[in-house]
Amino acid sequence: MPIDSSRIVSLSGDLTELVYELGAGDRLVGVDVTTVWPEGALELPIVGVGRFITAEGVLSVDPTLVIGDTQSSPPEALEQIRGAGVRVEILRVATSFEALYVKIESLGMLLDAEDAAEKLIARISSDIEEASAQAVPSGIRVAYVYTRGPDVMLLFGDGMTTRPLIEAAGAIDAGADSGIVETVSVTAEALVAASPDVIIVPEEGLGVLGGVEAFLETPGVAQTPAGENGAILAYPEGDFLTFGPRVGESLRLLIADLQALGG
Amino acid sequence: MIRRQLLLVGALLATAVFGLFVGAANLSLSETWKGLASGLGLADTGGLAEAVVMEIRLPRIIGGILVGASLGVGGTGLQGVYRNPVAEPYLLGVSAAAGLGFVLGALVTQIGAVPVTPILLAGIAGALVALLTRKIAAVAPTGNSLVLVGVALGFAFLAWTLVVTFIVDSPRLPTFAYFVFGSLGTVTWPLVYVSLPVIITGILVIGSNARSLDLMSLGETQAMSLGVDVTRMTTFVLGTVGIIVGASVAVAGVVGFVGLLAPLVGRRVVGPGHRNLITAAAVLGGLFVLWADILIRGLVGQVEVPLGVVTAAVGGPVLIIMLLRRNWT
Repeated sequence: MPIDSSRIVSLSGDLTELVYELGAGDRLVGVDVTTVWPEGALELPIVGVGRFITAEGVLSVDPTLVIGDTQSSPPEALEQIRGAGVRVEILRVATSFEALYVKIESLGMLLDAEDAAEKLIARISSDIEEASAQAVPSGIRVAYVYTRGPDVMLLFGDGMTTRPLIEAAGAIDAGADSGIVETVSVTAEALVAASPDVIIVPEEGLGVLGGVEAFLETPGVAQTPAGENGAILAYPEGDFLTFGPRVGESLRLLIADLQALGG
Repeated sequence: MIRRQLLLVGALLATAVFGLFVGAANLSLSETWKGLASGLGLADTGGLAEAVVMEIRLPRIIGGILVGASLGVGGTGLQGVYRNPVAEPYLLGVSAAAGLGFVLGALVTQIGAVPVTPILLAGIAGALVALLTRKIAAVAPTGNSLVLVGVALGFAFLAWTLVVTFIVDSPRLPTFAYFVFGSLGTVTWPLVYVSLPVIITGILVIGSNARSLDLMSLGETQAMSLGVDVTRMTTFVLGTVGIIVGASVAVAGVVGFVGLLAPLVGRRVVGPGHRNLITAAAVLGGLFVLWADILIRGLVGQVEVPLGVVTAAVGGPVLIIMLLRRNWT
């Protein structure tokens, strides 16, 4: 049976972006709250938060196809949506460039846009190649610290989207290098062990904290080389935590910023 | 008395029907009716309205009544056995124990499968702790220590539930926020089918002990001299309370204070006799949970407020008032 993708709900911001890139943006009828791009998608009804969806919120826009990823939750709500006769497709969250290409391929099949998917993969991989051509292997240690305010601070390591980006920029992922798998809570000890020369934080969280000055007061931050030199970079959360069509752009920006810092 | 009971049942049915019309999907009155009619085979419109009404709202409402009824009757049973009007499944740690049982059962259950093992383990854990509390309370010096023991047990079981959810990274585990704070947002038909017979049977079993519970209010010694096999009866009632509370936890997670409020209001409406009180507490519990859930669905922003948060927001202050008055002693 062919998949009816005439009315699509996306449960994640990066999926929304990919649906647009594959030329199916006009078929989207609802998105989750993490959608920030492109502008057309911001006009769409928000059906909930991808990690805490309610079946009725999603069904309220009468979709024929709901596309989520392995972080979409709770599974019971996804079952309820299926129970209502709506097709639900779950794609694997990509934490490597390779996985991103696989995800785009699957999405292309779902949307009956295989050719567009192939072109998008070619474009993204050439973006990444072009950007990383500018990178000089520097041995500089870069840590990604996720924060949403003083209560939530996580140091990222292996198995996160941030590692391939940092490494493609010619740097060392300080978190992964100090043995962190996925994430650990930020403690002074963990930061000192990672000993980053540069720390990247999400722009949104930095705003909640009250800017770079406030972040530097976090226990342990000031004792790292990054803290001593004030080498803190901030980017929009979505650009680093999920791989979407703009990943080449994020990488190019990171390389330029690292070089500006003297790395 | 029968008129009051009928009024309560009427209010419950009216609330249930009203609940069909509230939710994030913003269906109009006529769309909802058509969806319901189509779902019941009276029309053939199908579509979004039928899916929302039949697959989400209806099981959610029936689930809400089941949860409310089992907690209301559970509270009545505990209060009857302990002769203590603040005894209820949540405060005595029975709900938290059932929660741990459910989470452990969920680890060995396929996603999407009917959670038979989790419900079983929730019931067993609930029953064991309801019985254990009695053992502890029997050696504890005063009536108030019962609740303290229960609260302590509740925290301990909640902590162990959290330990499991933090160390085991399994998609089979219920979503933390939905479970620990309770929610009817994920009630499906299979869950209703499995929990319904358990809860109905349990309520009937507790109801069949109504006379003994009445005699218990005179004190254990009095009850015994009037022919009540106190040990057997309390074991039966406490065990059954644990089982129905376990089933309710499987449906909606841990929800507090329903078992406190339903019998409290029930006594005002139908008096202290357990035969009437058990029915009234079942219906009032259902009403309380349904209204809390209607409020939640009406308020819905991007994420639903958990059910247990709403019941605690109402129940907490009531408990404080009861503790201040101490007029039950």
